[in-house]
Amino acid sequence: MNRRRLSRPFRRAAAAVVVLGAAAVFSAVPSTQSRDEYLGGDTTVFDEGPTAFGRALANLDPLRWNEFRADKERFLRQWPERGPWADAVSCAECHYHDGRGPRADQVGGPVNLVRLGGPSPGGDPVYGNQLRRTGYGVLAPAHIRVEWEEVRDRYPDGDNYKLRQPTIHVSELAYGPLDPHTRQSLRVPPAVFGLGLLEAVSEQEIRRFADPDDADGDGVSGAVQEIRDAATGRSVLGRFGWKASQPSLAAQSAAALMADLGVIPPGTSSATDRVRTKIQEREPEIDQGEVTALVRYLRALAVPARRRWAEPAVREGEALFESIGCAACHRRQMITGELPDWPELERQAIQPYTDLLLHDLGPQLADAVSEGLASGHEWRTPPLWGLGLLSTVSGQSGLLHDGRARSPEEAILWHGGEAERAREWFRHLPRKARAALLEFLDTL
Amino acid sequence: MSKSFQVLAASSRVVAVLMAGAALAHAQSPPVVFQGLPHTPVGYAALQLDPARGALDVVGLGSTGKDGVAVRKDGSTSWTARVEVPVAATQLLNLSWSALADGRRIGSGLLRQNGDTLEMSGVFTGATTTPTFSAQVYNNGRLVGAVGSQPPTARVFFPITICTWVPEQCRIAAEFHTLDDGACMVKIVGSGAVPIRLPNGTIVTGNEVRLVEEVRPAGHYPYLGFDTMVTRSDAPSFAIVAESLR
Repeated sequence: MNRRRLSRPFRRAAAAVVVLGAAAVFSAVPSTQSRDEYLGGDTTVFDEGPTAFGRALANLDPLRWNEFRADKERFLRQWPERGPWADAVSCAECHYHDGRGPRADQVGGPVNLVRLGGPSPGGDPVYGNQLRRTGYGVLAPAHIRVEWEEVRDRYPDGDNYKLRQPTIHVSELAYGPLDPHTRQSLRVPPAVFGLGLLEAVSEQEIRRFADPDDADGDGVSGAVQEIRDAATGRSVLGRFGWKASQPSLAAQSAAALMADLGVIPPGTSSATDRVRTKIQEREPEIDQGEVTALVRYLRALAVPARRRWAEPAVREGEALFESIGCAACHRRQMITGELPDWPELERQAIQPYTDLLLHDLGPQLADAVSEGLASGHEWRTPPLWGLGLLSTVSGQSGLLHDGRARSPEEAILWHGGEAERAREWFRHLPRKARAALLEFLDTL
Repeated sequence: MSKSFQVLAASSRVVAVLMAGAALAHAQSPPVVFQGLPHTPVGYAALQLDPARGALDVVGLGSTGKDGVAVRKDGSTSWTARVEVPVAATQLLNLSWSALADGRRIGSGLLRQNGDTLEMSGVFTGATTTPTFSAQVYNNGRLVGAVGSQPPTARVFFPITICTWVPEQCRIAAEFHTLDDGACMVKIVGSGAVPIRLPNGTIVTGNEVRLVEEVRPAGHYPYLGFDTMVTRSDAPSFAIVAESLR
């Protein structure tokens, strides 16, 4: 990293950005932007408490209410049948209060999981694409311990900051060693609200933002994840998961049911390894209706509104977010398209702060696990809506794919690759401007 | 990263130890098991079992109305109990019962004495904007009056003689339920029929008042139940009798 070389020009530029940002606050921004707080368009709900991610769409058809309640029961319940290898007993165990992974003391289960990437698309030949911690009626696959190493650095203005990075320690592998080519990646379960809106965004709308060869020369590319649809054989756009490896909520839910609970949704593939095959033989198949109900529940979960969005410092932070380049990937606005049977989600002007594209975030965040077209360096831009409420809902706010960032500030400081320039702009901002940008993020 | 980085060891176990310490610092008089359910004192309260009366006495309460008792059972949808609260010229009845899910209050019933009258109100949190409830009066199980769309400030009034009286004590059945449609309901049942004034001024005769949260599905939170019931009063003590939590 060449921070010293960049330091002086960045300092001058940062001052200019602050002036420009402040000017934007007082002149360019219209005085009445009454829709700013409606991150989810007409579906937006107003709740700043622990239930903020679990509310029904604000425009939900009343006839869906009873299904919504029943689907929530399904989301919360301990799954009656689960596979011999599992990481959780219920959906809600990982998606605590419909948010990100829970605080360690709030549930008995893991707050993160270990994704395996290996020589085959299915991950490790024996352990598959996820190293599960629990065995039911069989030996637990492995013992997993995460150790956090703290690192210190400082801003150019002398302010100190601390970051931390995880090291995964795997022991007691019950079914033999991992394949030498298998790679491990720590993952935090993402929040599950607002997913219906993201699913309703058309492929055309997402492709509009793609710039895989950086034709505009801004240093930010953005590539579409292309997935082969197992059912049709056609290539489809991926949009869910840390590397956008799932094209739909149905596919994402099926993958999570398999990987986390060890159950087999209909039409999913089977393993070839001897051990893995024996395990899969004992994995209970679930009815397609269960997957459908979970998808229905996820689609009906609303996005909470912004708070304090009109405060001057927040406005200043918002202008900085745009001007230093964060918004090149964390795009503010999208328009949803059509989603059959879900008129509530259609044609909504939403503000997810994502482009749903893959970006190279540099070697420090790379995990050496590729998924589809996404390399180990590439990650899908996560939406930022609900960011300021993560801690209220989940009791923790471990950000980035592995939860290493304990705050949005730490998350920014981990950005590299295509986002390195934006990160350096941020580092070189005056303290007050940095605080304003973080204040803005806290209102999302 | 830059050479000024220093490596420090950190462990999530440290956080767990600190949190355990904090919990101990707040520990009060010991919990007791009553009716097979774990009860924990709240605030300055202490708990005493009275096997002869089949009662749990909640004593040592301050005058803030914040002290009382909590009973816990995961996945509960219904709580009923008879509450015995002292009432005297210098001690007006003030009682609240609240259901919590994951530490958050999902609904409450409140009874407050004003002279010879009790006023009952409810607080519900399922709605995304202004919550409303319907107030319903029953007489021996038969609906005799109701009014809907009531704001949180609405009150139902009835004479304190709805209580079963023993010397300087009001005995009344208090209940909390989560209903099949996700609504919460608070309820009191008295010993005999009295004139009850609904928030719109209508007066009917009954022995039971229900305040039922109104569910407007758009933006509503689908509470499926609760895990904790907290009963509080600003009386010096009160007793819980014939309690059920399921």
